[in-house]
Amino acid sequence: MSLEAQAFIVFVLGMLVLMGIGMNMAFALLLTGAAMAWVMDFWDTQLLAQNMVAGVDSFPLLAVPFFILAGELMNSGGISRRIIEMAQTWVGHIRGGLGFVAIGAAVLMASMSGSALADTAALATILLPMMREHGYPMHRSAGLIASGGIIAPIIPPSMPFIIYGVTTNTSISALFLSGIVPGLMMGAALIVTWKIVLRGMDLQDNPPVPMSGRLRATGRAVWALLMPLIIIGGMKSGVFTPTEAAVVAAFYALVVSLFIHREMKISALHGVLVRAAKTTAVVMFLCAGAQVASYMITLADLPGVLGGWLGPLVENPRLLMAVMMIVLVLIGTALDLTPTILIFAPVMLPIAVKAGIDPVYFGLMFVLNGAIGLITPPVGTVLNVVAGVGRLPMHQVIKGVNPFLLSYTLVLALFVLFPQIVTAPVAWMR
Amino acid sequence: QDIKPRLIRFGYGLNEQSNQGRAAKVFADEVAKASGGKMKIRAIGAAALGPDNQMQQALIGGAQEMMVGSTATLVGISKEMAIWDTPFLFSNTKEADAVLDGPVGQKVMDKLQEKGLVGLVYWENGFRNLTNTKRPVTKLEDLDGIKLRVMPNDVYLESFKILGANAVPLAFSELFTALETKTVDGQENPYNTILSSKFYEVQKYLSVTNHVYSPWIVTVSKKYWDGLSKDEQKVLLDAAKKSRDFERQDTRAEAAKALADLKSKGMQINELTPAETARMRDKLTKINASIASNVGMDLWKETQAAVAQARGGK
Amino acid sequence: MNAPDNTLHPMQRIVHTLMATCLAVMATAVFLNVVLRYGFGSSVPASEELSRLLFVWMVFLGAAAAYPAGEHMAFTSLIGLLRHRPALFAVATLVIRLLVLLASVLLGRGAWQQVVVGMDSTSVVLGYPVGLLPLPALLCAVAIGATALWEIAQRKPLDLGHSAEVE
Ligand code: NA
Ligand code: NA
Repeated sequence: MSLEAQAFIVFVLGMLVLMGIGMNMAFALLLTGAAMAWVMDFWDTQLLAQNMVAGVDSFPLLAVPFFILAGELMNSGGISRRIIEMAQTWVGHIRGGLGFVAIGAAVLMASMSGSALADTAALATILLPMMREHGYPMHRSAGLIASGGIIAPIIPPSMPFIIYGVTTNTSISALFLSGIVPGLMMGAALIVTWKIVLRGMDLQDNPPVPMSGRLRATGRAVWALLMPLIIIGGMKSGVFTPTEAAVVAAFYALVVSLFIHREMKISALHGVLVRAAKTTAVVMFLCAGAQVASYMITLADLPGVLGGWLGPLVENPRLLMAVMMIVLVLIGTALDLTPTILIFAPVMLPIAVKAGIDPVYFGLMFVLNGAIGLITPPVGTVLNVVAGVGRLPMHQVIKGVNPFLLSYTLVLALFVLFPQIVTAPVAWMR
Repeated sequence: QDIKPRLIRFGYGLNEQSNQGRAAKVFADEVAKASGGKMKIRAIGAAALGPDNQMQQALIGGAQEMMVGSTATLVGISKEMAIWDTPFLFSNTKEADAVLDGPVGQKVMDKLQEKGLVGLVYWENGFRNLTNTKRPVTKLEDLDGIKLRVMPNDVYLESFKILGANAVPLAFSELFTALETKTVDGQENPYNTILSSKFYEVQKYLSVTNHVYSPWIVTVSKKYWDGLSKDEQKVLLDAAKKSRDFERQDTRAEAAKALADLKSKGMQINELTPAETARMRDKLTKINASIASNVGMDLWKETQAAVAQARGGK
Repeated sequence: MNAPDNTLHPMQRIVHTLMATCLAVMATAVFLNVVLRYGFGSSVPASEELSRLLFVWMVFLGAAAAYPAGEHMAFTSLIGLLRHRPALFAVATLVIRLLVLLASVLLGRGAWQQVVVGMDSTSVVLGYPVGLLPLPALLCAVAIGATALWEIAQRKPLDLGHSAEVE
């Protein structure tokens, strides 16, 4: 057996066994990389340490802590709350209105924050108690909010796109642009699904808010609404790069929170910084471990080995795409988005490119699929958040999320069949 | 001959199809031939072993055997390498070859040994030239106010500031996007890079400034080198020299073709008169003084003398 | 999620403050460059190098602090099934900790070698010794390795409840 094939087997076994027994993933990746180095005759502990550090030592990745910081500030400084309140005055009165509020707010907040968990937590904290009060079935409400939360990594800015872009050397700005239309379509899919599941709910409706009240709420949210304009406008017009956009978003959120909304005290800043730094450290430590494994994956040319085995599939891009999507759905049931990107993107993308699939389109599909994995059992981090905030048993949330999961799967299938839906708008916007 | 079976990992940054990749292959073939197939070079491109600075640390620590990379990234390890960053040091490749392959080039290379690296030969990356979206740079004043991306390195930053541009340091990975969105107006790189990075898609004017000559340097881990026999060292050195001669010829042919390609892709190309080049050079005396004090006045003078000799001897 | 600060060990509080400081300085340095470039056509060349160095420190300090709190990402569904088989669960816990110890030793050894190698080189812009980059990885490996040893000695039960907030 060739060294490459041996390395491949070590990789698969390492991942399955070390992760399977519940070891922390960063160290599981480090040890897997070390074992691969051993069989490939590349053993040196310096290389392990060097790559751990190199996995973090990257300027574009600085966008990760900055966007996390921006998200923390948005939640602490009342920016998220004002968006939800505004959505409520406009659509809160229609039947099932709080559901539409959740969808609208999810899409708006997605255009400011890059993290599904932060958005979900904010939506669930504010909306779930209101929905309970108005007689909404809790499992459906929780399912809807979880599904709305995962729009955040699709509409720019997006932390997973940054990690994907850095891991696979794909243009982050192109990835950002590619997410706009699919993200909006996810929102549309949720609206349709919500309308269907609404039937048969016995709901207590809100009275409509007069126009003056709507305008007042919109006025209060105006600083929040300016945020996506600044982020996307600044990036498109060249005032700053995607990495810098993240830091601009954080400073904007800070100024609005401290001086305009005045909902945050400067003394609270330390806590916000610590939380953002801790979250970042855990994500990036995983990137560090993954760098060791991906260094060895590149050296062993695993994509080449795997591509050889896939053989005839590579000649049919759409079929290959469908197969890879099914594999990713399966991976997504058990693995979170970030580790999925770090471990599988470097292996899968070269095969996709070889089959003639556009790397930006592939990136969008990969991240979209991984984001859906955040709301599939058994391991769905976003489900955990909703269950935790709403104090609901996990099996209820899983039951409630099902119809939305189905609609997202249809959206995903639509993009496999018609890649133009994704690629045409990107070409037009660039 | 005292030659043992050996596997040598040779890392480089560009891909296999580049001039660097082709020359690495020539080097590998030459080593195999001269050692009767006993010494095997495993050339690994596309920065799969990491960027230049990461590979350098691996060589010093003995975790990797060989690499080729930019001399500019070695400045932090051996300050004498900064001599090659001097703007307008060489006016053509003939001067560059004479000085780099002569005693001065060897002296600078030998300084690496104290730091755990053995330099074998210099390859050519190429003369750096300037592109931008604002106007053709035909004279010194044309640089005024152009927002120019330069390598994050004090010499380049200061030089272009003195020449009147707004020099901006930016990671290479962000450069294309920054040019596309006009975060910066221009950049400077060899023709081959301008072509392979598709900068012609987002840049209009290419001005042939030849403002600095960038060499690459082939290095071996000293820990590894010291464990080789004299015969084995000779195999590597001879093969490196052959790869150097091939690489320079190949790179120059490719640069000429790249320039023609850039023209056919619609870039507007202009040359700088020798008088304007001299004006720019004269403006940079302050930079030269600081380089001279960094690398040592003796080395600076020897280099200038070697350049003058090469220039006179044509 | 976040324990109130007064219940924390003083050492943890120091590490938290260091991390917060790293993040604040990084953000300010990058933001300053945007303002300088857009507003004044100039920039601080040290900004990128400084923020990358601080980033590496913040991540490895944070990774060390996250380990004892059980905040690292892990796939615990399978081992969770063993919870009601105490003997098996104890064995699995021991295996995990021995593997963590092994990983710490490998990382620590390599980082130590790279610190030594890097002390002789300086960074391009700021001129700091390059050994400062692998140094936090060394500290992190020592901290996690020591914690794992202590956990093995104390037979501390494996904590499955925590999961960090990511994505
Ligand atoms: Na987003
Ligand atoms: Na899942």
